[in-house]
Amino acid sequence: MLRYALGRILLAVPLLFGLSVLSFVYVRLIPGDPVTAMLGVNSNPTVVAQLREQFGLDRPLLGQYGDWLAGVMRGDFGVSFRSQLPISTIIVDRIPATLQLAGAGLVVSLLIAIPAGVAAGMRPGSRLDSLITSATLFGLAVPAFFLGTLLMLFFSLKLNLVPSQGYVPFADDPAQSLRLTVLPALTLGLAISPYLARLTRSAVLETAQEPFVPFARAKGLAPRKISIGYVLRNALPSLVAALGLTVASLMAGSIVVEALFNWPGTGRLVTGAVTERDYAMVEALLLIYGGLFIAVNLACEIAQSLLDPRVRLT
Amino acid sequence: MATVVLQVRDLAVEFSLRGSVARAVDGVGFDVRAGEIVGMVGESGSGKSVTMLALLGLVPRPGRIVAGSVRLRDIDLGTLSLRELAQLRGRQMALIPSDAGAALNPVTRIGAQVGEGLAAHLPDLPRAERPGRILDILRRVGLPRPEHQVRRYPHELSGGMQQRVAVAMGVQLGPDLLIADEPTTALDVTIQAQILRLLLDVREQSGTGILFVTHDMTTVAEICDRVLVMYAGQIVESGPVVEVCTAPAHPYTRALLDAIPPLGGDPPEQLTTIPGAPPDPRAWPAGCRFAERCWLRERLGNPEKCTSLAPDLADLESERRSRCHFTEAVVR
Repeated sequence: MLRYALGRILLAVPLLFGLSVLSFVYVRLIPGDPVTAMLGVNSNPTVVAQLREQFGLDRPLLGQYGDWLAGVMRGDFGVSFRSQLPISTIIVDRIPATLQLAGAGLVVSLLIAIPAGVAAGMRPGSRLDSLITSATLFGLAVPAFFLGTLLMLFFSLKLNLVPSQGYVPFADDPAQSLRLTVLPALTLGLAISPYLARLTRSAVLETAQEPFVPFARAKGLAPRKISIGYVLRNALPSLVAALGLTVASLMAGSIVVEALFNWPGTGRLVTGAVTERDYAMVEALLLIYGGLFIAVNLACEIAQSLLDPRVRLT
Repeated sequence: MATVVLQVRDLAVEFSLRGSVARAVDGVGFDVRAGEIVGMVGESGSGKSVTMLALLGLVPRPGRIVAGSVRLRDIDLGTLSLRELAQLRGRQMALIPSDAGAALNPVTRIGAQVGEGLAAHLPDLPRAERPGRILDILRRVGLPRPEHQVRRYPHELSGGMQQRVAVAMGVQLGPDLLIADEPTTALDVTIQAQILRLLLDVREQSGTGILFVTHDMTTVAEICDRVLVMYAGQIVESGPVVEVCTAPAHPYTRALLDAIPPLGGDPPEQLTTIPGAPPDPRAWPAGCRFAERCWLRERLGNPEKCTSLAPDLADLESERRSRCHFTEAVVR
């Protein structure tokens, strides 16, 4: 088990290296650079050249990459072109807000998707199943920013139940912090739950076909016990794996939702950094998001094996 | 004569799919008495599995029981709610699955799994007494070192051991009726013999009536008292096992017996088979359902009666019945 985990972690190293190359090249593929983003297209060429030199943008790409990578290895992501502050400080500042939103969004989506997916998967072809399946299809088609705007209009502007925008750290004012979390978390949760519900449905559907389900019925066990102890419990390993993949949608969704609700998390940093061509910031964020995705999926894979006694990892 | 534990009358099960209706079980009736092992044989699609599921009230959708009655002791199962039926399952009638390896919950330890039945049906049994009961029953079915096995997962047990566990789950609450669904097909011959022995012991010890569903005539001959031969959703022949096997009264039974490869001697050039395939359950033929494949009909010069008139399951001597217009010609 330990050896397996260690092996997988080692395997993540080349993956992260590839990710660093991609994130480095990727931002530079976006037309324009930090200087033109700052000064505009029709600015004085001498000033532009001077700033480019100051940021080191005139140096060969490989050299820039080398310096950057060496810094990253030491945990130093460089300095933001925009604010001239160390990137690691900026990001660390934003993490609590993002974790709060992502966590709440994940809880919302699990609360919606798991019961819906189980209900649909246990009785395929039933009216409830078609209802849930079409609802998820609809949900997949509605973009998060549109859904968020609707929720904002309805719950906050019309019914005045919760505030529509802003963020207060939980430590400062828990009640207000939670009130402010409601709409963004609901939007994020609703945005990813169709995806998760479909994965749950197919995992449950597949497990329900296994011979141990009718046998459990023949033993006279209660339907509840069968759905939870047999179907859901056996679908759990594949659900955990599916959850790992859902993290990608969670990340992407949080970027949109944070922008929409003026939520000062790392997602806001992404949108801001891309518009401003803040190279170092975009690189750092891409690397962190990607690394997080790899880590979460590794954790899910290990959890999956722990949940299934038939899998013994070596 | 022993009391009747299971009484099935005119049972019919239909599956409706996209407008067409398949009557998978069509007017099946039989009894199982206490301490009796009744074999139910037939090829795949003969309706034996659906009959078995109907007894348990577990016909999968879109199938449903459209006619007939099933009585367990003095309870008419048709009048029970789903909940009451579930309480009966596992307690008064239990199933032994065909492939225990696939029927056991792969993520639950053996002990906990055997205990589920106790928890569901004997809620008043103190928790502390469960482990003892579990070990007792596992010992009774001859599982070696039960105190060690209860901690293991199903996949860590051999096929024979898994089947013993399944039998233990079936018999632990002393059911009146045990439905054994090809309990030996997934096992090799020596283990098969052990499991059959175990079923005979169960019958001996607790007088349970056993409905033994299989496609294997040899196993039937080994352990059953009576046999029901099913074909195309109907019982085509029934009677005491020795008589049915030595002097079949229906051409289909005869063909089934002929299809058993002989033991010893040189292997035959070609295995005997029954030509053709069973008819489509969505459109049963008008006359005898076996007519299409019947060797006797051919030998008798294809009498018109076979394809125009559906034969009844007629009483013969000594509890025997056969569904053929020309039973006398089969027996000879």
